[in-house]
Amino acid sequence: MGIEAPAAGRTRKREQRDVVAVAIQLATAALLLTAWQTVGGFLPNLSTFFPPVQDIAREAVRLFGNGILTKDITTTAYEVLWGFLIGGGAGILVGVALGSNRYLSGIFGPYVYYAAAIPKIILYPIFILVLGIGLESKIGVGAASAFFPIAINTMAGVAEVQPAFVKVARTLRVSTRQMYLYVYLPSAIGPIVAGVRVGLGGAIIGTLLAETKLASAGLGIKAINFYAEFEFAAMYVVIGFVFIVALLLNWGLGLLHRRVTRYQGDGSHSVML
Amino acid sequence: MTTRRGVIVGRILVIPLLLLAMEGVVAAGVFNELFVAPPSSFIPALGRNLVSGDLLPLTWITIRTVGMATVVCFSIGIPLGYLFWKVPVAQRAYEPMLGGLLAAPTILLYPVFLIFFGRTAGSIIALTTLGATVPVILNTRQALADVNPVLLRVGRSMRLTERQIFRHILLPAAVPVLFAGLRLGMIFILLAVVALEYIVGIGGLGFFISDMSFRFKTANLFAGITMVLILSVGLMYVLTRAQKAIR
Repeated sequence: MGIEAPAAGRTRKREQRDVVAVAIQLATAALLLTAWQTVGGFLPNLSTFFPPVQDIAREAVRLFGNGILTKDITTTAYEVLWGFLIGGGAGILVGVALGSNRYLSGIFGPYVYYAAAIPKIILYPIFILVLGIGLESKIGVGAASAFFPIAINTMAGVAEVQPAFVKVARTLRVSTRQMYLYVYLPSAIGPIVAGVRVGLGGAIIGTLLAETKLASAGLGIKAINFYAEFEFAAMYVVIGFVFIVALLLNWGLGLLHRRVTRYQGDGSHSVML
Repeated sequence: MTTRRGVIVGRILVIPLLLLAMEGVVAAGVFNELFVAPPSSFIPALGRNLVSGDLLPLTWITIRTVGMATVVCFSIGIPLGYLFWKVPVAQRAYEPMLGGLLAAPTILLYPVFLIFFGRTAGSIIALTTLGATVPVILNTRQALADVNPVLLRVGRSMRLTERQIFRHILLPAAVPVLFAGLRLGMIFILLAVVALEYIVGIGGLGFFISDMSFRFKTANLFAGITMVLILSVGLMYVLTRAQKAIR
């Protein structure tokens, strides 16, 4: 026997294999659900911290049905949207500027990478000091979080535009604006969408974390308030809602990414010049 | 030639120019010194806090938490990645779920971990492990799967023992992709540890930053942020060197 890479699934047996995979997934999900439901039963007070699923569902109906969360949802959505647009817009501009110029990317590129590795939430105090304790500071954190993945991916995407395409465009004497719009952007759109996907996730996380620290409205502070007041079922509803929205957005952007890179095939097309 | 030197010179000049710009902006009154500490204020503060203040022990706490989280994350992630490679069914079943976990804002689950572990470093370590193990698992499996099977067959044809094949063929071939995963994991760990320290208000550097911001000690605040930058740069540098050394 020995070490050997397991053989790739043969196509004939693939249907069988996938059924097994789905079965495992369902079994695991069922196991986790059972574990959750029974955790509360081990100690008398534990059920407060890990309420059974029915309680969480009941709270969800109550919170959403009575519109208790509406203001918080709109506040958070507004903050995330603006943070994402500002950070993403700046990210694309910087990414294109740096990616299309080897000189600039050599000088500033490393700094962008280093700055990307710090948790943007620690800039929140600065944003509060400069922008006040209202929505703007959260938008700032969201923008900072969204900026870096988008800038880095755009930079890489633009830098990897095939030089052949650029040369062809040059022979056609296109203006700089046309160069950016018709050569760089369509080629880089794949990595840009990938960066946008990560950036949106970052904006959501950053904004919500900022809200948990200091806010008057929003899903983050709502969840923390529920936590502080021992209303854990409600807390799980809010966290679960954020998770579902984030996963849906991520999945949607994944579809967009596949749609956008569809024409590229497997990247093995050579360009004859 | 000149362009290469020009780039390096430019890169070196960015930091002093940036600091000068900050200094100028605050001196010109665009930002109040209470809100944005100029370098002439926060660099001495950095020095002061390092020498006679809490900054060094607090930085050590953060490094220690990151270290423990890394150990836990790698000791769970790498074996699981190996397992997924060995048992393809496990991979096909769990990889989509893990991919989904990667996209989910897991750090927002921190209240749950606070319930479980209390306001201790344990909750931080547990939460960061949840997030950081995923790229490690995925990349370990990918790294092993990408090894050219021909190499393994050569090893078998030379009648090497399993251990020898593992150490001399499998491991070196898998290192690049594996390290990419480890690097991703560690960056996430550092990020999450500092972020959670800040949010929850426990531990090292994150707590320092949170504390200083509430006391309006802006110079110390900027000093703390600089310290985090230094830490993350240092970490990336160490990781890159380690990868080069193993090659």
